Amino acid sequence: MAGNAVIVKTPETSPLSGTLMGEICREVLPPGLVNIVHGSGLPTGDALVRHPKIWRIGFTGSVQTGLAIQRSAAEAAVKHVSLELGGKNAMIVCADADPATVAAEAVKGMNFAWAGQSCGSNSRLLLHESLYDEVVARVVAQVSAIRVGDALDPASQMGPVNSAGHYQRVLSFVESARQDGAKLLTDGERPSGADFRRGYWLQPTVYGDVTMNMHVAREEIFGPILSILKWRTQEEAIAMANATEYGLVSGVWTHDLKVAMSFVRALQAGFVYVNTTARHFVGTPFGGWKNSGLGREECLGELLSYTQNKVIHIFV
Amino acid sequence: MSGKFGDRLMYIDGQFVSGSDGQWIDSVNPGTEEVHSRVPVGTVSDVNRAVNAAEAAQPAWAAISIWERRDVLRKLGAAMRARAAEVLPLEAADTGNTIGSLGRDVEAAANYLDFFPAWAPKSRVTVCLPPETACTSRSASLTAWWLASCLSIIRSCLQQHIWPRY
Repeated sequence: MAGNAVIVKTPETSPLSGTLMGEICREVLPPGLVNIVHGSGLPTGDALVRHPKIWRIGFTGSVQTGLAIQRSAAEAAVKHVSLELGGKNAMIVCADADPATVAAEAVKGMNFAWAGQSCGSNSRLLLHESLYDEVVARVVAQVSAIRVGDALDPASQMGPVNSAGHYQRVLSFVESARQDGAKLLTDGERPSGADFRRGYWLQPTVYGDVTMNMHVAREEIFGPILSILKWRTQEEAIAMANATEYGLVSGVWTHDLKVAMSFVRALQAGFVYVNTTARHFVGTPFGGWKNSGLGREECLGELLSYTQNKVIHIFV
Repeated sequence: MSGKFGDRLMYIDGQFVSGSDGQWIDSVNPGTEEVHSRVPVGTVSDVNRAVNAAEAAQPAWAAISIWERRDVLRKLGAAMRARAAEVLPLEAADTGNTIGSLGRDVEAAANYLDFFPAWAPKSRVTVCLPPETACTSRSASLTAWWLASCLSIIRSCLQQHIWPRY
């Protein structure tokens, strides 16, 4: 819309749908307006980021890669970089919330359909102590019932983790949770059976009694692992929610509007959901605070970020 | 050819091409570890070709009216929807995301190709003149009108132009 030409680099572990996008662009757009390249960060991504004729870079991915893009871009020129990075999103449940609703939404908000590999997954569930036991029991029952299987089977509710490298990283959190003393509430294992002998499989996994000094509480796993924490006072819940390098989305569950708004003001996140889980609304700015990102997407601001201002002052 | 989806290429300057140094990356089904396709590694020289193609295509694209760009992008959204059935099995096999959840993703992507073009009528060139010049503003866009109002005591002309980044 802004009149730019675009070069897309696909992720090296899942490039195929990008190749279909090329066919779709060829049907509709003039040659050269959209170009699609494949490859890893080195050499392909780095060559794009450092190219002297590219002034605007939008990236979705990890904090580590986001930092590398900022460094490379800064070495080449003064470039406009926007980043949509990770999250360790807290879903905070107050004492007055309905345990059945909250448990169902907590499971839904983990995005197990993508094996939890979503920047907006509520991978930390912060429960008030008064309903901790009841919600935990319901969450564990629902997570254990998730049907793991072939991603191409419409009946499957969760598939494998995306790549070999990422799978090893996800498994390292299972090990760190064991070492840190988190309470394994369900699974942590590879599913059994002939269908799962090969591939990057992990059953949906839930840890309870998690505390903020554990890796599974502080670091984004980007996998099918939910950490559940317990809180007593509002101050404690806010401190826990804000005690990570991330600040993408956050959620609060309460029927008390004053309580909800005091959480909303205190939470360090680009998007706060009250009595719902992360979802995208067309036109509302999506993006994170702190290391979760830079700039906002899916809104008018994003469109304008692909333009430049020019003010002309004529004396008559 | 490798795997059931075959070799998939890069799309540069309207053509499907392999990489300049002949290197490939295997694409793996994460549920089976089966190599089901491969894609070329884009080299520095491939990236340069893509940038040159983009640079050559951009002026004509920016020169057509924003209304025409709106129409083209809406066609692109419709073309995406029309091929959703092809995207879904490819994406599910390549990412491991379940096919039941992916339909919404294609629809969401296409929705943005409707959303951004909807801003076309609000993105015109703006010329705002102070009242004492007895000229009227041609159009007001976004915040530019407010900016111009604040500056109206200055006998001047302020123009804000939506300008591409290239």
